[in-house]
Amino acid sequence: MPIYLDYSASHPVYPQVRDEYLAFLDQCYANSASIHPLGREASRLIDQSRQQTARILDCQDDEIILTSGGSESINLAIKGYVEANPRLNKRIITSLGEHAATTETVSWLKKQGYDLVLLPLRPDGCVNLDAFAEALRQPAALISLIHVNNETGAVNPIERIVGLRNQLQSRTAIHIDGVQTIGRMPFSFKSAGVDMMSGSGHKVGAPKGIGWLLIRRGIHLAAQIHGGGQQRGLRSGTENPPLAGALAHALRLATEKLSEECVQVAELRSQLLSHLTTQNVNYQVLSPPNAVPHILMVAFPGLRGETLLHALSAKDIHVSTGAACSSKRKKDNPVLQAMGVPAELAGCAVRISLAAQNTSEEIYETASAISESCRRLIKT
Amino acid sequence: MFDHQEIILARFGEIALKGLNRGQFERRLIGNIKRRLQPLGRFAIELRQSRIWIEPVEEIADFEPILAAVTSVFGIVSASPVWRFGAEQRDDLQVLKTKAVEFIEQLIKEGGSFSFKVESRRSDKRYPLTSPEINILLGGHLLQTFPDQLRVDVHQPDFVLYVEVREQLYIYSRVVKGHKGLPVGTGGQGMLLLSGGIDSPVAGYMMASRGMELQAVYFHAFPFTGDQAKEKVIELAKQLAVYAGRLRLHIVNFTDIQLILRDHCPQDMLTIAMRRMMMRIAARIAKANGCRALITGESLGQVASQTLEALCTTDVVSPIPVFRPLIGLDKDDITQIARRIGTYETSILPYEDCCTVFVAKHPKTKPTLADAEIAEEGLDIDRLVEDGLVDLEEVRL
Repeated sequence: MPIYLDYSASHPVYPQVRDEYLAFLDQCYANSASIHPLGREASRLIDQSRQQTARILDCQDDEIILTSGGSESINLAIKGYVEANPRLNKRIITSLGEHAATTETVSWLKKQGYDLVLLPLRPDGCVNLDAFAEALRQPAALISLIHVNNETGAVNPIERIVGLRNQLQSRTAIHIDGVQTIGRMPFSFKSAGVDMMSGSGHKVGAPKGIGWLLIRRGIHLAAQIHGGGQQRGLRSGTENPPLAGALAHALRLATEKLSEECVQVAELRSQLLSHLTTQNVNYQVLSPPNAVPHILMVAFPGLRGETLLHALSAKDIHVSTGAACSSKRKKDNPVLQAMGVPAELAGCAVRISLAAQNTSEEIYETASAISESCRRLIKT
Repeated sequence: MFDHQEIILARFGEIALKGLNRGQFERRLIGNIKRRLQPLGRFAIELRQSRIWIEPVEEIADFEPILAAVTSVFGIVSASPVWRFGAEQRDDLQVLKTKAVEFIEQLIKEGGSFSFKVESRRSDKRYPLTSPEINILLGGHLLQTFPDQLRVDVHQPDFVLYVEVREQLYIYSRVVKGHKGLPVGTGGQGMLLLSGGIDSPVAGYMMASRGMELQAVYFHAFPFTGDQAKEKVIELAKQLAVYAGRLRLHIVNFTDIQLILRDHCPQDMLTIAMRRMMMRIAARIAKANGCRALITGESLGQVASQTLEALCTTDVVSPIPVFRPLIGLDKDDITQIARRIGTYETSILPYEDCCTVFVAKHPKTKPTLADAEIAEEGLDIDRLVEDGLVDLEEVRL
């Protein structure tokens, strides 16, 4: 059996979700826009799923736009917002700790004439709030920040970010990339006070191909996909009732025992580190203390992350060296660089991302495999 | 309307200069073409008057892959898709006129206006017109038929309509360039050190173009190089096999040797020591598999291990000649060839290759043989070479 420690790249589909999804595929094949009874049944499944999703994320049904995944949601949030609000200052505030879906989207907007403010990170991986306050001295159209960093697990202080925005530029909208949030920490859209939040189904145990963008009432976006006018014209394309159902189900499973599971995952994380210590492995945790326990960026000086990844995969243990979406990059890891981690150490980092499904045995086996690889491969 | 058959005419160059060995070269060339075309259908292949005629035995829907396959065979200078007709009424001029019009219609169906000329060759002198007469008659007829689309330009025409009078009539216009060179298999066998970078596949291509049959060796250093790096090299070997024909790739498990070298040798001599080991092992595999030369993608001065001094230190450990066809080429020129032969995109995939693992920050650029020998002092070289020959993996492409 493989030992899977790459949950932040993709969470396996929960078996219950898969079974229900397959049943939905058989039952709800009609187009939810059709007015015959089968179409209405498909439409009902969408409505129910939307209601359940809204309950879990603590938002209104009509604040949810279902998309194909996190990248589409982020594109819609950023491009859709600035396009719909052309009179706002052509300035976007984001950070050096963002996922490629954000950095590439804002880079594209830069080519269209927008000014970008890239907030520096503190050594703990969070946005530097002094720099943020400084950036808010001038009006901006949009703030887009990651909530839980996908590489380090660092959690940006959304409450303080929203507070500063309210105090200094109350007309500037805030979008948060919440792709790694759900299932890792509690979240309420209503209480967060942000204007938009993106998320992705396959990070919470739904199949790939579905995500969401929450848009607070009163926030206007321009559609980025045009067509039949589904989802209030904001995201055309035939809706996908089985995937919507699977998403709602997965969200429920990912959140219903969240606090219990966070404790379990934190315990697994500390077991891993303590096994490594016991086995005299030289390691350095790069994830900050406030990180969610699910994401552990850890470096083994003298052993390239990629080499360790290969060595572990030969033992059927699966980790990554950073965001899977950027695994083809050959440059230094920009998030670690922004945190001030020396390039040489950053090159020795692997990301171990855990879930409550992992067992203590798996953790022990992983620590032993790491220890063995370090002994064999690091020059003494 | 009269029927025609579509066939392919392939021309060869350098072989024609061969003397008594010519037959052997031609047989090898035909054999290589046959093998290359085998997956694409059944063909009758015939050599006549220093040209190769390739006739499909069964109906072929698309000639492009066949043309691409034929022109990728070393030894072929060019190839053309040809219409053959007139088996029964060859000397009836109406036959030639009708088919030429039909052929031109196909050629200009995209629209536009073209300049052209007709160029004829009459091998069978019994035909009622001479070559210049054919040119005049057919050119005039085509101009009359397509007054708006065609005009004559005998110096720089957009296309030439070639007519050949043999036992039947042949017309064609398109000439696709081949990769020239000599048929693979006429220049012995060589063992290519294939790394996964841009250079080594080009080096293999160049030696294959001189008729050399290739085998390749790749040094895999898992986990320093991942499986993706190995798959990349297999893919490169596959792309090389398009030109080189069959190719055997030998994969050496190099990790333990590399670790021993890393722990034993001074950092600034590590790459040289590693390359010397690779040469020794490659030469052993070469000899065991009938290869009488090694081939590398080294280019003088490109990196520290490719200075003259460095090359001398690696050269001496190989008991067989080391061919370095890129030695005098600029990186840009090598890249251009890589793009042309289709290996470039694979080569630049960002996976570690065996040569970049453990690269010293300041390697010695002018190592002496003594430096290399001192670096290896205390190592049981023979034993390490033997270790490298254990667990050899072979991939046939």
